[in-house]
Amino acid sequence: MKKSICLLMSIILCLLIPGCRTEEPLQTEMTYPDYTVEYTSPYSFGEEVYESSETTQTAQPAEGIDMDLTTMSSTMVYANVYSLISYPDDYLGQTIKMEGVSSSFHSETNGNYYFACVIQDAAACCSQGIEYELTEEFINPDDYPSDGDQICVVGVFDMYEEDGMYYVTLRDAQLLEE
Amino acid sequence: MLDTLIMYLQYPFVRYAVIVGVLIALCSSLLGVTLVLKRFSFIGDGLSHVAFGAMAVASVAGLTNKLLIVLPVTVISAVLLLRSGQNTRIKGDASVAMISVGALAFGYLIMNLFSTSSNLSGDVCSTLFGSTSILTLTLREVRICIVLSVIVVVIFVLFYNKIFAVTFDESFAKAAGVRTERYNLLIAVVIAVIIVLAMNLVGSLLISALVIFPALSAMRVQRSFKSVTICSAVLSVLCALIGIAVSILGGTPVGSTIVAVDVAVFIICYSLGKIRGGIGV
Repeated sequence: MKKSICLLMSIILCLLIPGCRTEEPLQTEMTYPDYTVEYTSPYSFGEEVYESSETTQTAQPAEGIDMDLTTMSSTMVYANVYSLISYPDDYLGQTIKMEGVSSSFHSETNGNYYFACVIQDAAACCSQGIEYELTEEFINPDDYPSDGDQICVVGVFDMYEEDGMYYVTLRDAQLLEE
Repeated sequence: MLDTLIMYLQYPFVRYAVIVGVLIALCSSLLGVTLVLKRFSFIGDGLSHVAFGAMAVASVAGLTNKLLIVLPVTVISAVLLLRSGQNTRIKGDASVAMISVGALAFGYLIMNLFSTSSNLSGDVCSTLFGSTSILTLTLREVRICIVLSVIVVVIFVLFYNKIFAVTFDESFAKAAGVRTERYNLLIAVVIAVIIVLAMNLVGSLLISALVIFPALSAMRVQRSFKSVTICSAVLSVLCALIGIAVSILGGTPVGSTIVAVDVAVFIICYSLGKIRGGIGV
C-alpha cells in the first residue's frame, strides 16, 4: 500500500514539475494569486461594492475603439481587465472604453494622485481596475471624478515605469456621458 | 446572441475556459457514477475543502505552482478518507465531516493570519465559488488540465471492468481475485485529481454538484452501468458548455451557473424517469 502511494505521488509530481518552467504572464509589478484577481498597486481599493452595469447587447466596438468593455457582460469585462493587466504587451496602443467606479489613491512618497476605473466580477467578491489619466485640460486632482462616482472612460492603453515598478494606464483619457 | 457568443469565442481565455470546462465536466462525471453507487457522494465536498486548506497554505507560501502542494495533500486525504471505513476508530461520514470542516477552518485561518493580499475576502470567495477563475487561466494551467484529464480518462477506460466490479460488489470482486485495495486507491487518487481540477471551474464549495448531479440525472433515464456512465458524461459536458455560455453572455458567476444548469437537467431527467421508470439511488 505504501509503495503504491509513493509510486503514484512520484508520477503526479513528475507530471507537475515540468509545468514550473513555462512562462508566467507578465506581472506588471502587481501580485495576482491564481484564483483571485485584484489590482493592488499603486492603489488599495478595499472592498468597494457597486452594482455593475449588466447585460450584453451587441459586443461590437464603436468606431475608433479597439475594445469596448461597456458592451460586454460583467463576466467578460472582468476577464478582459484581468487579461489587460496580466498581458499588457498584447494591448499596448489600443483604445479601450470601460465603465466602472472611480477610485483614487494619493501617494505620500511622491505626492501624486492616481485615479482608476474599478470593476467587479459577477460574484461581486473580487475587484480590479485600470488607472486612467485625463487629457491635459483636466487638472489633477481637482477636475477628476470623486471616489465612488460611476464613470465611463475612453483612453489609449499604455504601460509606464515608476520607482522600478510597471503600471498600466489609459492615457489621454476622456470621460464620457453614460 | 449567437453572434456575440462567436465573438466572445475569439478571445483566447474564453476558448481556454471552454476546453478546461469540458474536460473537467467529462472527468468528474465518469467517476461521479462510481462515487454515487459506492455511497461516497459527500467525499467530493470533503476533499474540496481539503484542497481549499492546501491552496491557502500554498498561497501564503507564495508558490507559483500551487498544484505542487494542493494535489499531493488532496490525494493523501482521498486515500485516508476512502480507507476510513476499514479498521479505523472514526468511521466514514464522521471522518469526512471532520476533515472537511477542519481543513476549511484551517485554510481560512491561515489566509487571515498570513495572507499578503489586500483583498482577503475576494481571495476566499473566489476559491470557494470559483468566481471567474475559469476565465483567467494561463496557458500552463490549461496544459496541466489537459494532461491530467487525459490521464483520468485513460485510467477510467483501461480499468473500466475493475472499477465496475469494485463499485457494485467489492466483497465479490475480492473473492474473485481482484485486488480491491489497489483499485480503491486508484479511485481515490483520480477523485483527488478531479477535485483539484474542478476548483478552477466551480470553486471548492460547488464541486460536489459537478460530481453528483450528472450521475444522478443519468440514473433517472438509463439502467446499465455503461449507459449511465456515457449518459452522465454527455449531460455533464452539455451542462458545462451551457453554463459557461450563459455566464459569459448574461454576466452571471460561472460556477453557480453551471451548477444551476445541472440542477435543471436533473429535474428534467427526474421527470422523464418518473414517466419511463428509471433506477433509483
